[in-house]
Amino acid sequence: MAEATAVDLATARDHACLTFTDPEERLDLVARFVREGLRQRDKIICWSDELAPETLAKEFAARAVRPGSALRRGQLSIAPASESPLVREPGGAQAMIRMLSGEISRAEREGYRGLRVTMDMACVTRPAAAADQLMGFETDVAALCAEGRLCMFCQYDRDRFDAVTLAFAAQAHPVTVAAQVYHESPLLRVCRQYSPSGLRVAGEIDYRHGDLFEQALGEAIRLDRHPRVNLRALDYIDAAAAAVLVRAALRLPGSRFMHVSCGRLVATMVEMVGGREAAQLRVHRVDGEL
Amino acid sequence: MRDQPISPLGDDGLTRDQALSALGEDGVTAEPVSPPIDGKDGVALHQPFDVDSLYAMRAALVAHGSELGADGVALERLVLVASELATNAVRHGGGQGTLRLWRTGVSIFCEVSDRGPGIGDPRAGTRRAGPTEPGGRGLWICRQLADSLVIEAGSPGAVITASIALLIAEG
Repeated sequence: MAEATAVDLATARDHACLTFTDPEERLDLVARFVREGLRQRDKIICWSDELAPETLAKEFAARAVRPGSALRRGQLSIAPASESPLVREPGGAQAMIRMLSGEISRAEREGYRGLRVTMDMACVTRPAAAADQLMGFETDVAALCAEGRLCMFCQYDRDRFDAVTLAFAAQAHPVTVAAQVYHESPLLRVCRQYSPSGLRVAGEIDYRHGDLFEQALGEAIRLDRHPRVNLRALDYIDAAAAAVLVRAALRLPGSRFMHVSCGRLVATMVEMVGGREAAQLRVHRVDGEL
Repeated sequence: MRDQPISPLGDDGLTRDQALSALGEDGVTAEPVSPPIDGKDGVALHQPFDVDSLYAMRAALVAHGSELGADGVALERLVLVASELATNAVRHGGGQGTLRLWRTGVSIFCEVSDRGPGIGDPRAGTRRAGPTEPGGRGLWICRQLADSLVIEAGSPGAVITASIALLIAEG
């Protein structure tokens, strides 16, 4: 049974399952997986389902990953999952395992430390795919990962898979990867962001969550030299919560910056509580205004 | 923020200067606003709230503010102002209150009343709290974002009415 715990992605090198409902969070975790692979000189293959490869590359670029040169030199490749052997070939599971074995050997020959693969498993839910191949693939790829030369990161969209398949996926992977969540309710989600590293807050936040917000910001400040606070999906912030943000930025020494990305309403409130007085605070409006 | 243009004003026949001249020298005091009678002539929203219903109140504000013609910056200011007034009522005005929303001419008015101890100083919120001060920002922010703000004594409690001009340059 997988450990359903938050994992420091920098140390994850195994057969891991990423279950998600929030596309933003999925992209954040996958971007961190790719960034870490580039840093560690792994060869990386991304099989994308929902997003076109060019779109995924752009999403990486927006998340502190520089895919351009890695794509050109062949360290990183991004391809539609619909073109993977798992989906296209009869007996897709075995074909996929053969392909991965070949890629592991090729990566070694090319001098890479190992092979990292991430795949949006939603590709097997497409009409033309053989969904029954999924379980065989997950079982066999676990053995390949156990040899230590492959790090496989399987993405499962909770909205696309039934509960039985998700339960199987959780069991088939030794590790479940998820963002560290500080708070989750239907109206507010506060979690760690991994690429670029910092904090992500979505929904609505007001004075009732001031202490929680302060703690989460405090952790981001401890962990990140220039914490990135992603408030793009924050629809409302009150003066008390905005003041918590500004006070946290003011506690940074002058050589460090807190970068906040947000919409106009949040930017207005941050300015109203004195955001412009905090030289350490950089507010980036997502509509391009400063 | 208040220096952004709000012209041309429409069927009220007031220019921005005329509208601002209705405020006192300090831009604080304005003539009390007479709200329409509920259910008769145009109160779009009459919503009691407490600490557990602030989220629902904000959702209702957005929906009814849009119905009344607010969008973009005007709608955001309406939400920020009304929410801060409601939060003040919850935290300092007895834990609950009532929000009313209506439109007159090219302005939306929101009135928040509570049954707390009231606000003795009509100039409350005219001093800006520094970023490191623990609180005391709500009314100041409302004064910055609203085009007028009137504080009256309730019986008991406080009645605060803010107006937001519908035509605000996007920025």
